[in-house]
Amino acid sequence: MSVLHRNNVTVMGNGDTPMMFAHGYGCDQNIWRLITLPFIDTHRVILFDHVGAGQSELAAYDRTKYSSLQGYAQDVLEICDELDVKHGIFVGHSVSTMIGVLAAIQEPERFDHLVLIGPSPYYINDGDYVGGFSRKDIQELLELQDSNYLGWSASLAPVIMGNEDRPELAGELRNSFCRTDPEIAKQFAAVTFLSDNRADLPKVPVRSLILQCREDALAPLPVGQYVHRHLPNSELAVLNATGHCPHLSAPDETIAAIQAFLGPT
Amino acid sequence: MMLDDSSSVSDDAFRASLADLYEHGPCGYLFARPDGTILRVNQTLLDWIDFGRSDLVGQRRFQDLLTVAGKVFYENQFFPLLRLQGSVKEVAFDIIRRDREPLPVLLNAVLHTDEEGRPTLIAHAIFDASDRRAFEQELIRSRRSAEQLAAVVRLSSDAILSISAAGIIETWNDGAASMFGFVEQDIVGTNLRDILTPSDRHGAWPDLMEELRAGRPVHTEMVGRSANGESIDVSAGFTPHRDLLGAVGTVSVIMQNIAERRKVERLQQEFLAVTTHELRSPVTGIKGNAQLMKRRGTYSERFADAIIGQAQRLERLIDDLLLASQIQADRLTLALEVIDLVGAARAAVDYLGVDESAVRVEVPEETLLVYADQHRLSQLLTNLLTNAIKYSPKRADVTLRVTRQGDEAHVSVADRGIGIPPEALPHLFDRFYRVAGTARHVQGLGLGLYISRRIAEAHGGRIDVASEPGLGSSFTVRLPLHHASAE
Repeated sequence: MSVLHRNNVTVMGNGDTPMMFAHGYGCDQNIWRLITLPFIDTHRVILFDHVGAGQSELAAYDRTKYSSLQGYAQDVLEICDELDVKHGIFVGHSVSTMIGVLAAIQEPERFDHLVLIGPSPYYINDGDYVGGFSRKDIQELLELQDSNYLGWSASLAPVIMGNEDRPELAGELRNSFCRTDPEIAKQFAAVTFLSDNRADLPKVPVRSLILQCREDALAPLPVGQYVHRHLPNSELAVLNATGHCPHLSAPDETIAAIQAFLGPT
Repeated sequence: MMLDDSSSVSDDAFRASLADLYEHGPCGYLFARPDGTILRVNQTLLDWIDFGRSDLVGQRRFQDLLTVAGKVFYENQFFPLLRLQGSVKEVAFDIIRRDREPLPVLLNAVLHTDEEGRPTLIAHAIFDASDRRAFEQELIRSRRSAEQLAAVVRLSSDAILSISAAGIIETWNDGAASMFGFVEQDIVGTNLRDILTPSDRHGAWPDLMEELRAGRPVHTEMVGRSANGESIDVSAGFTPHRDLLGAVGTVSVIMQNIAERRKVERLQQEFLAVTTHELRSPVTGIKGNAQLMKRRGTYSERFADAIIGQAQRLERLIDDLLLASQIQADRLTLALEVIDLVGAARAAVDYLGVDESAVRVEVPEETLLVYADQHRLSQLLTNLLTNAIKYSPKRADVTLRVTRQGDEAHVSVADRGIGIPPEALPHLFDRFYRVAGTARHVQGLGLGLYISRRIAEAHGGRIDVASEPGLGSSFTVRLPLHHASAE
């Protein structure tokens, strides 16, 4: 199975500099829809779905490989290898910020710049470190996932099951994209919210931008500041936008911040 | 015919009704800015969560009403979906009421945008999902327990299956597959009668089926036939299940392989027969000699010796039985001391009271010291010598040889007797094992070699046998030398 097929890789744009966008937990490459446009003229835009998400090859899901973010970082590097990405830009959201960090440490020549949207190296409070959540919060979150997937599967499973040979039903699916296999979603959620990548931050050898929303329930300001302190060559931009997805809620502001960081092309 | 003209109802009346429906209808409505700031909320929702309108409007964002986990889910999944799809349906959340209790809801939302596609307003419709959530929890619980139960059944080493009232196999677990050697897909759909028959004294299939159809469980012993044609002794429990109309639809069957139990039963029976026989003959001897002496009315040295001899034999049998039961219960204790093995070997020959020509003794000049229990060691050597003499047709060719081999002392007892069939060798030291065909003409409980092996092992040594049928056997005991003589 080819890497490009496995990760449902989309390549578009007219520029030379590769610019790879990596979606976070709970969605797929569609999440970049509102901010890729201005970069298509100037860059070679690479979109993909993590294995288990979107239109990726579900058969490639390997519980052992994806039991840590390292497995996802390996996929990023394999895509880079396949597309000969060098001196590119990596834009990651949420958990993919840490996937980008791991990839950049492993093969520094792939990306010259990292753009980290709502990064958090660890979600759980730990001594002096404020991650924003208690273990109990995370446990509840995993249960909520379960409940939504159960509700989802109870009311929608029959429709989705019949979907393969009846593509006309696709349009009727509720909440149809960003959907994934519940068991995979559960493991990805656990890996996302329980991974501790604090020790990796100082090892990042390339320049990075931290895009921090003014108010973000997942990655509050102190977390962004922590990342900024520990990433050697980093800039912190605090956006006016609120929430965890400025690329959806404030695409223009997000685009402007990224362009300012990258400088004139 | 025309129905009532609706224009006779004023627009105001419709508007009032609609407003009432909005405020007090069966679902909550909440309008918010794209960032979540609450703009309007209906009375139904306020009543559900026990907040006043002024607590919320302009004061809070919708996601602030959610649990921590809910807020994360909202930001991470719900909002992206809403932004990209324009609407989201039936997502489960808990809204926190004023008293901090969670209200389970299902959330639907529509995103309104301006002409340029910029979000302007989110309209939420909220349904009380308390009942549904309770059902879901119940469903999750029962699914989990059903999965656990299924796993227990599937992985059980007992054969667990179900059959129809006609005997057709419907399900077949891993235990059944390994017991019978048939895999599920090959056996399901066939009749259980093809591979299972009631054992002789336990009735026949028609009687069995009649009992089951009457709704009575049956527990019985049966003989199965495995895929490679072997018969398997099983104990089988049949439990009929009635359907709603009272007819027996499915019968669950649990089978255990009782081959091991049968083997133990057979061994026990054999043991009882042999033991009774062995104990009876010295008793008969004692009784006979005592009666003879009494009848003659005079004391006789010969009869007294015979009585003592038989009593000693009885004593040895009982000792063996006691010792075997101690070994079996792991309660064999040793009184260890430093002993000269050469001396012990000579003493064992003397103890048997056989003449010099019956046993040839070959021992080294030196003493070989071992750390051993004098009594048990002599028991071991006596056992081997007795066996050798017993199985030699002519009492002439038994050799006892003691040698030093490195750090070990070896005692071997060789005979030129009937030998041991090769198939018997692996079982020779088992408890109650008696070589087939020898039971008739040779006495013994089948305990001697078992005890000997355990004594050797308890001393940190071992015992081996080499044998050729017709030429004789040789038993070798290897014991670690005590370091003083190993120097």
